[in-house]
Order: sequence, then structure tokens, then C-alpha cells
Amino acid sequence: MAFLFKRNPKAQELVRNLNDSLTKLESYPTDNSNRKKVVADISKNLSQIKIILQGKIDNYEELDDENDDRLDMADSPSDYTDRVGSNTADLSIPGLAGSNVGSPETDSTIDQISQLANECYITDLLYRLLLNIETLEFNSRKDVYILCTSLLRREIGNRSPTIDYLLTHDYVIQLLMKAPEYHSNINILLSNILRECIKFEKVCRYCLNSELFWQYFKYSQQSSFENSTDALITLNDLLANHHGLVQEFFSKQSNLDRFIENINKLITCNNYVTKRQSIKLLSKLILQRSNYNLMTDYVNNSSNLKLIMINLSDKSKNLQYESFQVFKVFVANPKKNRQILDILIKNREKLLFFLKEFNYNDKDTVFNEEKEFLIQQIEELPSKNNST
Amino acid sequence: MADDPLTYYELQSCVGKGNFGDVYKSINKVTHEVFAIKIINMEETEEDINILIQEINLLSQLRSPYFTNYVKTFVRGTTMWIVMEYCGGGSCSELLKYLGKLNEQCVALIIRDTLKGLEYLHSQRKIHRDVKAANILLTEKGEVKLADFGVSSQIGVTQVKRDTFVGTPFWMAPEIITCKNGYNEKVDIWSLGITTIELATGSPPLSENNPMKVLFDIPDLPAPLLKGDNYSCNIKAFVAACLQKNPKLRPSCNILSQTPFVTKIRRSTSLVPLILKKQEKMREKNITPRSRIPLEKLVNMTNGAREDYWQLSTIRTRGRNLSRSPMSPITGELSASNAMTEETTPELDMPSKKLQLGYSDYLKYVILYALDKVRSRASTEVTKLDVDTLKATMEEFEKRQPGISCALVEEIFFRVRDQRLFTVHESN
Repeated sequence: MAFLFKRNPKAQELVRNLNDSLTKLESYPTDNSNRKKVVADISKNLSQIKIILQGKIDNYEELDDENDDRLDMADSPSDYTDRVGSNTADLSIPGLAGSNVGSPETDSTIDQISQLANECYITDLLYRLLLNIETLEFNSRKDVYILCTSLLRREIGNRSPTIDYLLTHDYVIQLLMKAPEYHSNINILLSNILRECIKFEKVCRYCLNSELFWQYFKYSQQSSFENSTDALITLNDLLANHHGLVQEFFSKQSNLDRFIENINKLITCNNYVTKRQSIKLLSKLILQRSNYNLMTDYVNNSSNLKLIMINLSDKSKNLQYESFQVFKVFVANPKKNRQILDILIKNREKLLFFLKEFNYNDKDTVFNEEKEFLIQQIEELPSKNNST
Repeated sequence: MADDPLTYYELQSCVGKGNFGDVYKSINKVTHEVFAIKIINMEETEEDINILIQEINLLSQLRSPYFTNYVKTFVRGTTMWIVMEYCGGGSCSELLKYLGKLNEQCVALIIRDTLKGLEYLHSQRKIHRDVKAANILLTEKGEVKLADFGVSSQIGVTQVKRDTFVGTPFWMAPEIITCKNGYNEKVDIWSLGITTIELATGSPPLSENNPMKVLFDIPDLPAPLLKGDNYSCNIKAFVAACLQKNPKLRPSCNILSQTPFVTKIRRSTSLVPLILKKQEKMREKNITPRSRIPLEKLVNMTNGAREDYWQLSTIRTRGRNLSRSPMSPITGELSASNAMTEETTPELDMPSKKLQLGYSDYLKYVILYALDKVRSRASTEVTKLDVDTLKATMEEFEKRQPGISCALVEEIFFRVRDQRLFTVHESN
């Protein structure tokens, strides 16, 4: 850490250095020895930017540090007993978790950061870094993530200058949305940045209205486990976090039709994880009160019912459970159309048998109550011999 | 569609069992490199699947020579296959189990490299939370690697029985248990101190007690110390530095790496002889952990869709006298059994002519041919995809059970003939 004892370069200078280096990278696409040096320069500058952003350097190296809580914290002992649970608190990339980034402590660092941010906006540095991210070293990619997420968190009054920048320079968002087209290492990084961005409703709206949004259904079926599962997580964040926005999205019939067609394709796919994640997403959206349009459209189509019933009878208990969450809406719907009724009546005995045998979790009282309700509803259906 | 791990890797033997799944030694079919594959049955974990996925993503962003690094993940049936670096030397707790306590030079070597792994982890602002000998793995060359970070890396946990309870109380720092103000990465330093005692004496302090009782004792008892003339001042000082009840007083990894205990290791120290000795003992006792899912079952795993469970289609039931005609998912029309059978008749003729078909020909010329016809009549993409799945399934079953297509075709033919389900066309 020797450079700490030298003069700390100003934010502007660092941004200028980075831009110069990126220009060099772009102009010597093949000159390997030169590129290596440039990439090393970029790493150095980025790590200095990280120091500005995170305030003090590496507080874990200090013996008597009063700011211990800057590192990942588990809040309660129960977090520890459940190892998986304890990690849910820091799902972002290690070292980059939002809550861990130290807040700047002095006025001079606040000054430095606002200078840094302005320079980034003016010179389009974020875009240029993201564009060249594959070329950067493994660790400086993480520094790019820190830079992006720190800038996202900046607020001036009730304005978020980085969001304004993104919306006026939407090619940055587009680049981020294409993350799953990269190798999984890069994808995870870019997708994490994108998911930070779409926490802001304005950016999320931009994404939902973009044609690129529909690519996520294709991305979710990629052969790479990392990319396909990650794409579904992004899809989930895009559709499940801003209720008003999604209601608006589903108020367009064309979006609704296209969504149902695409989510059904995912549910039909051969991959257990994709299947399970996509049925879960569907049930989450259908059961969201504000998505009334989606719900009525979905449960009034008999081919949707067939699809859900096929998954309801899958050997996998979890798929059964997730399908149940959708299936129950078909049955509970007071205005079932003829085709839906036909299918239910035709399978009345089998459904009753199936539901009575269906145990997921004895302690899940909501599930058990709903199951009883469904049994009651189906019992009230006419049996197939006397139906006309 | 998802890649099949068995295209790339060959499973060899189960080398360990963890809370979440078993670990298999496996070989990359192309490069012949050895990897550890941890197989988690997602039907059995109660965790939200997205949490598992994000844990894996997180793991993929960690890279250090002192870490069992992540390679790739696959999905096969309901299992997740996580490919990791392989540590052929087993874990340090295995060394203890077969060789008793270790000499101080070896302990220092293990602790030095574990510190490097921890230092990397802490620099990434992550806490390991479960440092202990069982989670320190060795390669066959004697390199030391820290494992078991997060859900997805229970790799190499070769203990056959593992405490499911809380993980491992003996190694737990007091502040985790009392948890007044949360805790930070210093909990790993405490555990490292306990691990040092474990390696030097053969077991962690208080291990003769019930783990549940220990949970209450650790915050109340004074910090354990390494005592006796058998141990050098350096190791005693190292342990004492780690095991301070006030986490703020515990040094960081960086400081600990500069203590004489880990800087003054004889150049000749190597873990390889220990590993060899341990392997010999294991061979004598003929120890191989049994996997939860038998290998054959893993290899022959299929997806669990039972599409014929409900009466959703007319294909099965056509020709029977049903009181009502159900909708056909294929044509989207009310079932028109006449039209359907007419088209399929030419193919049904084939076996009756006793063509000289090989087993695989029945698959190709009858089953797949027929399914292609069915597919071309599908009205929706969903149905087409389903038919594709069915085709793939048939192909797979033919591979697994050569002759199954032939038998199926014969049986269908006999059934159709005997039952005269298609009377109209039989008479033709």
C-alpha cells in the first residue's frame, strides 16, 4: 500500500488517466505488450478511485478499529445457525456488497466524490469502462462495480444524478441489458450492476419498454447455468419489484399476450431449475393484486391450465408446490369458462385423489387451508357422467 | 437447453458427504484433469433456489490459490452439479483422524496458508464463519486450500458424519454466541486459533463435552490456551493472540502472517509425507464413503414430468366411447379420431409387414417418424416443445434400454389389432 504515502491524486486526474488508458486500449487492439501495461495502469487508477469511494482503506487491517461493523454483519445469532440464511444479507459480489461500502467521512472526500461523479458523467467513463470490461483484470472489474454502485447511490436533494445520466445516455443501460450475452464471469458483474440500476423505477420502466426485455426469456434458456439462472433473477427483479410499473406494463394487451406466451415456454422447458424459477415467478405475479389483468387472462385459457396441471403432477414435490400456487387460482376463479370447467370435471376424481394425497409441509397452514378449499370446490363440481 | 455434465465429466467415486450433498471425484473427459463435483439434490434442500444460485454466483467471483476455486455448475434432473477444484489430499481433519496430532512445523505451514486464504476472503469483505480443520483441504502436492465457504462448497468434507447442528460450536467465537453487537471477520481469527489447537493437539478445546453445553460455556469460560512444554513459545503466542475474547484485540490476518510462528517454518517442511501416510492407513481400513444417491441413479436421472397423469389429451383415449369429446391439445379441435388414425395408419402397417428392422430402426422409422408427424400437426409452440421432449426421451430410453422402441411398437401394434380399437381401418 505504498502509494498511500504519496500525494493522493485528485479525482479528475484519475478519471483523465482512465480515459487516456481506455483510448490507448481502443487504439492498439492487437499490441499485446502495450495493452498489458495499459491494463495495469487502469487497475491502479481504479483501485485509487475505490479508496476515494470507500473512505479509509481496508479497515480490517487496523487493529483497534471502531468501525468494525463495516464488514458483513449478521444481525442475529439465528443468522448464524442458518448458514444459507446468513448469506442472504450479502448476495452481491463479494467485496462489493452495498452495505459494506464505507461512507466518506470528511468534507474533502465528499468533494472528491462529487468531482469524480461529474467527471464520470461528462467523459462517459462508466460506459467506456463497461465496454472494455472483458479486457480489464479480474479484480479491477470488481472496482468498476464499486464505482457504478457508489455513483448510483449518490443523491442530491431528491435527484439521483447517476440515474439522470443513465436515462440520457441509454446506451449504457442497453449495454448492461445485454449482459447475459457475455461469458458468465462478466455477465454476473454486469447483471449485478443492472439489478442495482433497476431498483430505480425510472430505469426499470426504461428496461420494460425496451425490446431487449423480451430477450431475457431467451437468455433464461441459455445452456450456461450461471447465465440462464441469473437472467431469470433479473427477469424477476424487473417484473416483481415495482408494482405500479408492472401494472402499467400489463395494462397493454400486447405485453400481456407476449408475456404469457414467453413464460409458458420457460415453464415447458426441460431444465428443472428454469422450470421451478419460472413457475415461481408466474405465481408471484399472478397473486399480486395489482396484476389483476394478468391473472384473469391467464386463468381463462385452458391450455394454460393444462400446462399447469402437467407440472402439478410432476414427480418433483417442489414443482408440484409451485404449480399449486397457480393452479389454485384456476379453481378459485368464480367465473370459470366452459373449457376450464370441462378439464376440471373430466379430471375431478383424479384431482380429488391427488389433492388429498398432496402433502408439502404440515406446518404450512396457509397451504393446507387452501388445499382444503380446493378439494371442497372440486367436490362441488358435477362428476363427469352427469355433466352435460 | 442445459448442458449435460456427463458429456464433459466422468464421475469416479464419492469422496465426501456434506450437509447439502455428496462430493464426487471426477475426470474431465477432454483434458483428463481431476475435479471435485458436489451434487446437491434441489428437491431435498429447503432453501430457496434463488439463494443457492446467488451463492454460486458469489463463489464464482472468488479466486485465490489458497481457495478451492469454482469452475462451473450444471443442472441434471433435479440435481445441481457444482464443479470445483479437486483436493486429492483430503482434509486436515482426516490427517488428525488417522495420524493423531501433527507436529508444529506442519501446523504452522497449514495455518500460514489458511491465513492467506482468509486474508483474501477478508479483503473481499467476506467472512468464512466456519474455519476448522475439516474445512482446510490439501492437494496431493501438499498445497493448502480453504474450503466450505457458503452453501456451495461443502466440498471435501470427508467426515462421514457431520454435525448438522449449527455447524460447529467448538470453533465458534464467543461474540457469535452472545451476539450483542453483531460480529465481523474477527470471528474467523478466533476459529483459526481454535483450529491451531486442534491441529497441534488432535482436537479442539472442550471437545469432550456436549456441543450444546459448549455453546453456553464458550462466552463464560476464559479463552483457551495452549499449555505444556511440548509446544513452543511461538505457537503459544500465536494461539493467545487469536483467542482473545474481545474481537477488537484480535490481530488481522495481515498482522498474524508476520508472527514468528508462521514466518519461521523450516524450508524442508512438507505435508506430502503426511498425506501419503494417511492414504495408506485409509487403504488399510478400506474406507470409502457411501453416497446418498447411488451413482447409477445419478447417471440415469430424468426429469419428472408425467404428462399422461391427467386426461388432457385425446391421443390416449381416442376411439373409446367417451361421453364427451375432449379437446385435443394437438389440433386445438374437438377430437376427430377418424382423421387422426387415417394419417397414422401407414406407419402402423410397418411392423405387420415384418420388415427387417434393427432395434434402432424401430426408433428411427417408427417412433420418431410418428412423433415428427404429430409435431407437424401441433398448433402451438408449447405442444411442439412437448413433442420434442418426448422424442428426446424416447431416444434416451432406446440408448439405455436398447430394443425398447421395438418392443413398444410391437405391443402397440398387437394392442391395436387385438382390441380392434380402430375397427374401421383394420377392416381395410
